[in-house]
Amino acid sequence: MKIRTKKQTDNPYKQNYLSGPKILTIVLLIALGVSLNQIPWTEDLVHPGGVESLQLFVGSLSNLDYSPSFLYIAFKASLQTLIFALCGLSLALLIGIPLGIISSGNIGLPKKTGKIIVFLTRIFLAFLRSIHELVWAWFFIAAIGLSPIAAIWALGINYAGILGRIFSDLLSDVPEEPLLSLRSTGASEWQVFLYGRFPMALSDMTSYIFYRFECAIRSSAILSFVGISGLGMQIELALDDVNFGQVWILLIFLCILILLVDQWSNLIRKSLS
Amino acid sequence: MFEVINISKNFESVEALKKVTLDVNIGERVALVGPSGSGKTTLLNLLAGSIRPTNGSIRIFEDNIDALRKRGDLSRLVGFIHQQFDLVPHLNVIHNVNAGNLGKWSLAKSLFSLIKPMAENEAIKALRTVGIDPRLYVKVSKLSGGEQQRVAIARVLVQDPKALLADEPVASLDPKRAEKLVELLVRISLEDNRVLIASLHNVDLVKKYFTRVIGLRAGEILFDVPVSELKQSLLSELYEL
Repeated sequence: MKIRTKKQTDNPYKQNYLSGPKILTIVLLIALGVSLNQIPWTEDLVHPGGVESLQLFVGSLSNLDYSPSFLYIAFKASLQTLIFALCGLSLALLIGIPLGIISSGNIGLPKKTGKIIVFLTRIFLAFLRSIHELVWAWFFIAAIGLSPIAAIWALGINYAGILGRIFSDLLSDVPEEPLLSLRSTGASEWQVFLYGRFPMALSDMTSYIFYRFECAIRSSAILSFVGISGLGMQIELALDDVNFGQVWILLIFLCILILLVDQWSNLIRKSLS
Repeated sequence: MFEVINISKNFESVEALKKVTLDVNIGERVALVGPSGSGKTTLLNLLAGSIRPTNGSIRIFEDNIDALRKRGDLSRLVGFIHQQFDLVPHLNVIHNVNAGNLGKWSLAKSLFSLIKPMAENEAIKALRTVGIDPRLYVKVSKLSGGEQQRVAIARVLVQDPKALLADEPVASLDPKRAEKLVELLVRISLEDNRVLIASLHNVDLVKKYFTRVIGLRAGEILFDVPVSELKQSLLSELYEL
């Protein structure tokens, strides 16, 4: 980075053809070329029965399972998925917000210890998010058995790591001038946080929370593949029965759930901006 | 009130201020004039304690500015109106005005006030003084630029400092509104006998409303005279290219 700026100041009239991002692009293009070369094009890329299964899957669109008893099952499963997502996200917020605030390093901690605390918090957040929620789920199921609590903890822990990281960035990236003028009124760092940093970052934080809420619904549906009740488990049962008519209904319910959350987040964002 | 002794300020290799010495006393209204980049904003920032001088020292009522800031007393002495009013657009007017109270309030009180706003009457009084409708529960981002500027002044009024610093307060206003605003700043500085130090370019306003004028060029004081002695020849020299 330093070398690059130096080169540019040496001759500001000449374009720098080989900058870091360009080299990276070239390397990636070469990698793509090499990997395409590795594919055995001559053999069958799609397994022989695949087209037939696909036809069956799409064809069953005309054969949806509308029966009230199944719709009730789908509705109940959607509700379970939604509740797990909400609980998981709430837990993630409880853990993620304080950790995000600490790791943004803007709350007037003493200089030396502050740096160590910020560093340790960042590592901890990275640890939480670098392990996928499915792995956390497996871990919690092993620890506390097949219970909804395992799913909620798995979601909560992984999402806390992600939310904490994003919150920390959003809180650091607010415009500096209003904060300076707050300081000139004699405000302490915590007061600057309350009256400047936090309100300025809040609307971005809220939209990110809602985006994560959508992800949490998908994750919670997936988590129920491992045997926790919800949409995923119902999808798996229907797939085992090769009952694509039911699979479609369940997928539609999942889409409706996501769309509802999307509408909700639009409403909230409008009132915030 | 201010005693500035031989201060310099460097930003990396740029010398923004070179060995500036000046005193400002209670009752004075000082206009800082000079071409862009002459160090007016830097001087104001130094007087407000927002930045520290590279060399030299600043004393306010015989106390070192660093010591005052460390004790948390600086905000009771100096209030600053920035060029971009620097409010928090996402908060209601009341919270932006109340920000002027933060130096006096405990953390618990300032947190509580975000939920149930305190000092409403004081805020209403300040907003009336600066001449806008006291709509406390409107988001600042919904206000016009002129209104935002007045909210920023109301915030400084609530802060109640002994000196008012303003960095190009009329830069974005038309001539009529510019005069009204300077009039307002002068009025609130006269009411409580506050020192006023403002940077501006309009010589007519300087002559009409200020008592003293300091000309800055390339980080140095070119002249420092009572307004009555401000001659065209000084100004020509100041703005000479």
